[in-house]
Amino acid sequence: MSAAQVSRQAWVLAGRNVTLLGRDSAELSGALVSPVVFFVGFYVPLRGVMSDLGIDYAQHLLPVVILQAMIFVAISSAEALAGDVDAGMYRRVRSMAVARLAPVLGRLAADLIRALLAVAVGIAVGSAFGFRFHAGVAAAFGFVGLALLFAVGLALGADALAIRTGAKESVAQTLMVPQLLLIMISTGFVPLSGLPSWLRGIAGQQPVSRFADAMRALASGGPTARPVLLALAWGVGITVVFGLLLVRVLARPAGERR
Amino acid sequence: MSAEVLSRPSPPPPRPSSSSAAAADRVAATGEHGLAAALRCAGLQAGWLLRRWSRDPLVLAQTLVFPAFLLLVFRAVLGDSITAATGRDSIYGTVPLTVLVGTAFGALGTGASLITERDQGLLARFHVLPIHRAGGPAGRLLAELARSLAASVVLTLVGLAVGLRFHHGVPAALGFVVVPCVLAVGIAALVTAVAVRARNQASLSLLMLFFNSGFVPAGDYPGWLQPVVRAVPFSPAVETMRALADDGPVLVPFLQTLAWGGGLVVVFGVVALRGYRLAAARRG
Repeated sequence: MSAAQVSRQAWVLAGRNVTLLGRDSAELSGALVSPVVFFVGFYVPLRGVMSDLGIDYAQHLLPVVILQAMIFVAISSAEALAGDVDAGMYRRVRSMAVARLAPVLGRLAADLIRALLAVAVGIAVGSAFGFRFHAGVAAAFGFVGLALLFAVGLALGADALAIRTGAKESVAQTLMVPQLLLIMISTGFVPLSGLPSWLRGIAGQQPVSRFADAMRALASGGPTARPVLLALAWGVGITVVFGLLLVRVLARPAGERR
Repeated sequence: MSAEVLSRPSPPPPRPSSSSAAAADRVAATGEHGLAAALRCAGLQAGWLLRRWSRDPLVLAQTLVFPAFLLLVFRAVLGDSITAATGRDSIYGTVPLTVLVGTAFGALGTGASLITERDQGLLARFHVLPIHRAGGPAGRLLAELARSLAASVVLTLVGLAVGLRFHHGVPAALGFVVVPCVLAVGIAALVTAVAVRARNQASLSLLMLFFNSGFVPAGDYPGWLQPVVRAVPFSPAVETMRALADDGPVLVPFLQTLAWGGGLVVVFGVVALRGYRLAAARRG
């Protein structure tokens, strides 16, 4: 099958996914409301605390709120794909003359759109509370690009899990705890110096912190090369590892309809 | 945080269970008139509900596991910063807050189990059996109290492990554990009446996690928001518990807590009772 055919098939399936998302008002509103709730929920109470510590909290907080929304994108991607596996849709498509990669590419394309929406909502609510891009247009695009890279990298892994298990509810619940740990035990809410010393080792190195640091540097200005390279290293690493995992899962037979 | 957990409920498939039927028969055996019958029915129903909830992963997770996790994470990540900036140890706000979160978010799970009971026709069956009419709602209330007490005890123990200390002796400590139950009754009535019909709003209900005096003291909110933050139902309960463990006036916040608990029961209890009766009268 040629690349053109594969991308056409993926395009068709992406259209289906986007249509389904557009019809699911609870899913859509959840995707758009959650960045607002988390930004406002942390910003308003903690703004005073953080400005006492010398931190402009809108500038500090927005990256982690957006990164959390990106994790939610990956989780809902897994949920939707597991739903397709569970309903037999995935097996149906696999039985036709469609590339194995097409359903996943279609899924990822729809995820990208959802991620872009969430990033836009996040930046809008952040701007309302004083978040600004101080480092120019290119850096702003870098900010958005890093968020999307994070979303796609995680979605690859989540999709692999979804195809492997095909269990809609348990996939979402399984991913919820690591999500919360990654988001909270990071430098996203509190700078490294505000964390207890026993937590700093893990909290400073883990991917959410690296991405948040890079996005903050891209938004606020200052030295960007090092944080962005570290975030890119994580992003590429996640994408490669989860991508290989996904390819392995795709190579297996589609299995029994559940 | 748990917005996604909450917005993705996993309703258990309705299946008639023989233990439910057995419970119905046992309740039926106690007669349906008089105060003694009401109390026995309520006790049996409460015990049955508690056994049922203790096997329901959603109720367990939302009542105990998620709040305990939240307590540890808030303590580790935000505790030092909030303590440094406000001058008051944040643990005396975080423990009360997470107890109330367990009480309120767990009620979403128990509300879901009420729907299942309705859809299975179990409530209708209770309704036609010789059971005291007050037995069902009163038993549910008792069970909610017990659930809230469980959240309170477990989270207080976790809190003790990460820095909570009682400075005013045993009676104040017992008060600390019991105060959230006062509000729990009102929250249970509210959830039974409202939240079970509007579960999509779960992510908005997360806001109550942030906008109260347990997360950071009320004085740290913007001036125009402070009256709201001081007034929401969680805040007086948090202030009462903070005072009992650490420092501050007890009586006024406790009376406010009582007023909130009582007010919610009066307003939403009526709606909840009507809903209960309607649910019992029809199937599905």
